[in-house]
Amino acid sequence: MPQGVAAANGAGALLVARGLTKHYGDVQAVRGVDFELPSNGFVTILGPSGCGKTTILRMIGGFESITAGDVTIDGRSLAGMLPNRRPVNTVFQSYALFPHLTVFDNVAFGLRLRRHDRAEVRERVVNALATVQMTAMAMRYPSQLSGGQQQRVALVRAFINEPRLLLLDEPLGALDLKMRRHMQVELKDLQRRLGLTFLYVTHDQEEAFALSDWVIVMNAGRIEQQGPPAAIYHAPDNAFVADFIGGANLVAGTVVAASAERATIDCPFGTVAAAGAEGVAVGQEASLCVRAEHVRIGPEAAACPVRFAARVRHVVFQGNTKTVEARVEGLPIVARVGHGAPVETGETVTMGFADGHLRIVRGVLAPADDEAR
Amino acid sequence: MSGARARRSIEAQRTLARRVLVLPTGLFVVVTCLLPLALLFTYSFYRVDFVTIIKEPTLANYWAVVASPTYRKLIAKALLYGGGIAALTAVIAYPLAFFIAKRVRVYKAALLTAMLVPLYTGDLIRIFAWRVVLGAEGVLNSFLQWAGITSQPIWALLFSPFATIVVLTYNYLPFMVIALWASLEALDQAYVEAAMDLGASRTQVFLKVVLPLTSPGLVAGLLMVLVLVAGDYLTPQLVGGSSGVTITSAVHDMFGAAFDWPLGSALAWSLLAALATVVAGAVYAFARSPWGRGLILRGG
Amino acid sequence: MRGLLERLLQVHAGLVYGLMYAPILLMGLFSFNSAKFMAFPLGAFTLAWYREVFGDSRILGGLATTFTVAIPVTLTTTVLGTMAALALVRHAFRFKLVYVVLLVLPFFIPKIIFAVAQVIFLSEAGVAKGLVTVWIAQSVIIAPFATVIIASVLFRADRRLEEAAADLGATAWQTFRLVTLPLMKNGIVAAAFIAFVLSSAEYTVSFFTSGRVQPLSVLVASDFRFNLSPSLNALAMLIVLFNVVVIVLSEVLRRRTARRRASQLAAMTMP
Repeated sequence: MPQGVAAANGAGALLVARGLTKHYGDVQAVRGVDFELPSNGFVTILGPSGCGKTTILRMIGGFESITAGDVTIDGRSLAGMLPNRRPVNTVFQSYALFPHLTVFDNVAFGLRLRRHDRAEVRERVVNALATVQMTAMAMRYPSQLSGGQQQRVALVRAFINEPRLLLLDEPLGALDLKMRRHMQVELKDLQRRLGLTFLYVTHDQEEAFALSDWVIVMNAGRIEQQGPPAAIYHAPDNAFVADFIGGANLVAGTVVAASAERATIDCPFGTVAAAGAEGVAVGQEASLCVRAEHVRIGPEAAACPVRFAARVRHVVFQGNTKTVEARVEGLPIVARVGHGAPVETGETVTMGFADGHLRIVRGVLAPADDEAR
Repeated sequence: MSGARARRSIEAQRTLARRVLVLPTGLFVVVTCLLPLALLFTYSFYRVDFVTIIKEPTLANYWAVVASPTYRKLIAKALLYGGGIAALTAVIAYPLAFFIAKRVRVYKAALLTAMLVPLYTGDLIRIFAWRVVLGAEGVLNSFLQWAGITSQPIWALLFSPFATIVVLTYNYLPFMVIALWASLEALDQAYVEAAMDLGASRTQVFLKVVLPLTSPGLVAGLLMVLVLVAGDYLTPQLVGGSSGVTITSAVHDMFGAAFDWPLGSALAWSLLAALATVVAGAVYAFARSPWGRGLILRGG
Repeated sequence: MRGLLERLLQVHAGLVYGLMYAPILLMGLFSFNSAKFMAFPLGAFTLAWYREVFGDSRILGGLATTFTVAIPVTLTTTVLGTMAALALVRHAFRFKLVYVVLLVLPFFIPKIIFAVAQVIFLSEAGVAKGLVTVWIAQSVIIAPFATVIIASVLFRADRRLEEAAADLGATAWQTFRLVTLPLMKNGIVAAAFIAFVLSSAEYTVSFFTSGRVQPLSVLVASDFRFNLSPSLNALAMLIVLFNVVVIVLSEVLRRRTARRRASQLAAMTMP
């Protein structure tokens, strides 16, 4: 697995992107992005709409020109290469199955262009369709298939050409929740079986974490953080990632001390020492980050190093848990506690941040990112 | 209002609105178009006796049409010209429609309108303009002589099949452009990208994806131009010279100097029948072809 | 290779448009030319031919007749086109295909056949030919254009706006008047202008259905056919100019209302 692939020097990586940039006139969609893809893995670019993730995919696929920077596959630069020559295949968001061709002809399309003989094409198509249980539909037309079926045909049509890299542009967006979960499992399984590299694009954080070995989080054209899902979840580097991934309480402040793995921040809750993210430096703006499930209420809060009184504004019952939204001198704090916890709206309670689950991350949340507060 | 009554009332309103819209417009066409055509049909079974019309049913007119090699040839000529001009306009219009649909961003509407403006000038003016250009003393000939390229006027420019073909193409090119443009414009770029992604060269993308997916527009355009050309009476008569005799000019004569309304009606309906057969046959053949089947199943 | 293809496309487009407008522009050129024949070399610049046209009372009378017919035709076809478009785009019913065929049929019937059918019809019905018969006959063949234009605009209008109006309490008629109609306005105006232009240019059907009073196209038809006087150039150019002005006017109007609406919307949404 790509341990620090991004840090490595490019040896062994399938695809290397350096300083990848895309401008549309005045709009800077992608701002000098660096990343690498391994030769067998599931990598996802995750980010909100407009962050540039689809643009990067299209630049690799060859459908958008590269303004600056470069992308190489197996050492060969893709700059200026037409899409039909790239060792890359794409699964489009709208599937783009040719409506005038049967499922079989759709899947065989790429093979036939390279003049394989008929028997071989037939065999390969049938086998490929079998891997996604679509053999029975071979003679149907795309308009006769359901969304999930079309999705599978689009997949097969792409990977049957044995590309070095498979690009997937939010392929599950049009499916309902149940179908999406099912297809996520299928996709992950398929990637393992095929041994190809999948580059996946989505705005759904849960989906990205369920599928990927490596996640690249993007915002406004820049990479905010990249790494294995667990690392990103437990150790976000900055406020945006902490908020985008799983949601967190972020208290703005200034760094007063920083060392290798720990830092101290001066914030409305006082001077707090905690684990420090990479790159946190003295004098910088930073945020104290605590996930909702690590905020304690009532007697449990007594043992917390950071304790305060807060007024409860909402209690939302969510089955097994309760989400408690409170305010401390105007600062919103969200806690998630068990369904049995005795908290009522309007009460003033003692809350605390559990020891060992505090983290100091770079930056503060921009007002635009801070929608729900 | 209770739920059921409200629903019925909305239903009733919709039905009323529908009837108010459909019935007058439908009736208008029936009375002003179908009825006269039906009358024309009945007249085709009459006979003429110098200046009076004998309203006794007879098949003599249709027999005359079918048996006469002249009339048969004229109907065939109408269809041939129709098909030929349709093909010619398709070849000229396709690159242009492609250009407007896929290469133009800001001036699309302007270009389309500009294509239609010559249409609005009217049949006579268009024909007149071409006579000015093609005539023996016309612009083209005098220019060629003045530039020293020829020493004699080229008579065959006007009052010839050449002139007929040129002016017919000129007349109906806008229709083909619009029909092709509509289907090219509606072509989802994702299909082109998908084809390229799968390894198709530009030529292959065109032949395997663009052409099939725009074929309904092409077929519609071809049939439209075929029908319009086959029925064009003015152009061949005014610029075709002696080669400009058509089935429609024969109809015109029967209702003019030659005074044989029943025969004229039979000629008219023979042409209509021929056109209807060709159109129905073409649509059927297309729907059954591989391209047609996949696209029509899509329902759009 | 790729660049060459792009160049070819552009050149082809230029050539086609050039050839489309060449006859008209040449006509225009010679309408200002003093020579009696439409030939090179060119003579002197002159407005004499135009003066001749404006001085011809027969032509001016014909023009008046043309407008007398074109205005009712415009009104009729626009109304019919609006009704038909609404039926096609906003309602579902059986035999819709039959209805569509019925509506476009007049476009495909060869004009001469349609015209002689009218002649028989009028003769059987004992109705005298006149401007009324021209008006009705023209309306039949021009209505399909209006229908297609208005229907294509209506097709793109969002149906949910009408549903929202109904949800807010509007009756069917109010919804139509306050929501649907404004949405169709562009199409209706465009259809009206085109109907007017087509009516004033129409010849074949008008020839067969007009009586003693004839619109301009019929009046000068024999002139156009046999007489190649340059004053006809001038007349033809005036007609073309008129058509172009009308079309340009309708485009300008359409764009002005679109821009006005856009700025209204912007003004409303400013904080």
